[in-house]
Amino acid sequence: MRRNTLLIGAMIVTVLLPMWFVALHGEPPSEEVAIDESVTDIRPLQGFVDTPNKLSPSQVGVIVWVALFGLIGVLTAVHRFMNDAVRPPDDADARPAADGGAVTLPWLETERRWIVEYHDASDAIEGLVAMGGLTVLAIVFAALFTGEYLTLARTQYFGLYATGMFTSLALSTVAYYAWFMPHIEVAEHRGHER
Amino acid sequence: MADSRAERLYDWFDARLDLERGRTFLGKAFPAEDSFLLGEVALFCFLFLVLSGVFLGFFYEPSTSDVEYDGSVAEYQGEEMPEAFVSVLHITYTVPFGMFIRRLHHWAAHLFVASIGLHMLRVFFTGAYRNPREPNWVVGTGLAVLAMGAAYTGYALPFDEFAATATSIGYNLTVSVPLVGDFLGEIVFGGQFPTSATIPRLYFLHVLVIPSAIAVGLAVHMAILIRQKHTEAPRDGDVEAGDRTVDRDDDGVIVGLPAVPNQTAVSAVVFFLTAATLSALAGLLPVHNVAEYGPNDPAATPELIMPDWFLMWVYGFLKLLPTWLSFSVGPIHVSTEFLGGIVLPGLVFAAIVAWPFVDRTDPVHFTADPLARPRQTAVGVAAVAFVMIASIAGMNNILAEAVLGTSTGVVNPILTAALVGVPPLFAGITYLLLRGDGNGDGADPAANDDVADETAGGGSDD
Repeated sequence: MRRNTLLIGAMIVTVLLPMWFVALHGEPPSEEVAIDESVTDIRPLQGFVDTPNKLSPSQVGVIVWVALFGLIGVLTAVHRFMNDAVRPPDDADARPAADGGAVTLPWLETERRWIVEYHDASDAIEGLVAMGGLTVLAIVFAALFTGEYLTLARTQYFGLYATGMFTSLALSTVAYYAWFMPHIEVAEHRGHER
Repeated sequence: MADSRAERLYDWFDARLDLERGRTFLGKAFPAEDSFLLGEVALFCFLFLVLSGVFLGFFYEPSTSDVEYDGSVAEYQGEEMPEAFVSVLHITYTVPFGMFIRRLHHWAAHLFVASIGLHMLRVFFTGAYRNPREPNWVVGTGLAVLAMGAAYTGYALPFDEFAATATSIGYNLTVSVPLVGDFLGEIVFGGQFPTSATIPRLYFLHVLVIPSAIAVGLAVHMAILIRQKHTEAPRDGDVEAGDRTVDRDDDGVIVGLPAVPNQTAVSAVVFFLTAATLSALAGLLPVHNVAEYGPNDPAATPELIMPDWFLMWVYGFLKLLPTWLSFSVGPIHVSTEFLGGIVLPGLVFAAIVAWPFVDRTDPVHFTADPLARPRQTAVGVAAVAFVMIASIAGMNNILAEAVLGTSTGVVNPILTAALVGVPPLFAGITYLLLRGDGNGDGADPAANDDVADETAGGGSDD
């Protein structure tokens, strides 16, 4: 990272951190809402961890930006893993399909688009293990999520199960992409002609 | 047999929709850039907003008529309360998925606005708005405004004490517009806030007008993107394939992953991880907990009044502008509410829209290195600092009382000085730091080299 990037980043932090510090003071704690259990069978407030009962809009602002930066960080990591981690090194045979006769999808090549890089999938056994494990995990979380709906409908558990289910599906897709999908890059002219 | 049936079905559609010609779209190139995924996060947030909004719409009642509450929240049992508030209590505490979906809807709204904001910052600092992409920058800015409008109109719907008070600030700003303020107040809020027409009017805007406008805006945004194709980060070197070579600095050709299958898989990952993030937030953290605030009470004032975080900078203008700035010209009164809440934010958005037409270039398709664009990056850093300081000013009461233990009268002059002085200072420092790099526009590596030579000889980047 260049020195100037750090200096400019530091300048922005000098206003960002005070803004977040002030914003986090937003809302004092309050008592939890009492549920009359004779009216409903569900227990939306039951959970496994103590969390605030309410958040001010300013606190929501800090949380959502932290979440967004976290999401982008994770996306960056998995995106790079998908494209690089289990691919052959650059000096390996990156034979274009057009030359090597490899089977590609018929819509990839047109008069104005051609394949510039094609690596076959590695089909390695670790990819199969990863996908199998993640698929089982996604099914388990989906079952728990459904079970929660049919019983106590606790919000924290919905969140936990849904997060687990979607993360498993995301990582399963990552594994499929990395180990079982050919890595293809195409080049195409930018002109507006079709 | 099955194949021939499938083929016949395909031929049937092909004869009517020309699928064969459109099929080549599936191979379109998407540059594999990490930061380009921000737009997809925003897109998927909108999808979650629509889906969760449909769920909530089945249970929500947009009415302020009083009804007796007989639900599960012990505190309110037997009370006469607005039907909108009661229906949100019902969604939250009695419908099995209700609390989770309602929170997910709220967090998706906030993540939608934040991801649009970060997406715009990425586009700004990498110069991706430049010729020929000015139209999409304008459409994108419109989408940002609509996203904030959607969130604001939704904020009021539960008609709880906090939201109703915060919404009244918006009403006061609307009617402060000279000449047409009352008319606008009638259109948006159904008359003097709060009336029985306010909630139905905001609900209509929230579930139909604004989402439709966002959907159309997104369609136009995507159509322009597909037509013009993505920008691309500068290449490390020439791209060679067989006897065809794409030169490192040839931006007439785009290199990237094909839409199907590779980019589709990447988008699926973005979708699932966005869903996971929203699920974690919705499961663990409350947002706008209406039961804690209670129903709207016109006779009471909540302890803490503030708008959503993305409007905090506008609130800051309102808090810092002195009342003596208001004036009258004949029968027309220009209030500080109008200046701080309408004129200044309007100027900010006008500047954002106008920026690509100020920072004019020849057509360019490579993204720029922000460190190679001293003037533009200096403007961006100043703008970010300006919004952040204005946001602190919007929370001046918290800063004064909860943080510093003093009064707003003490902190306001300091905040005003910071709002006026810090952005130009940051801009100056940024410019001086980057000017020393000796780079120009930074459109692409080759151009960098060329412009660096020009700069050394007194050339300019814009």
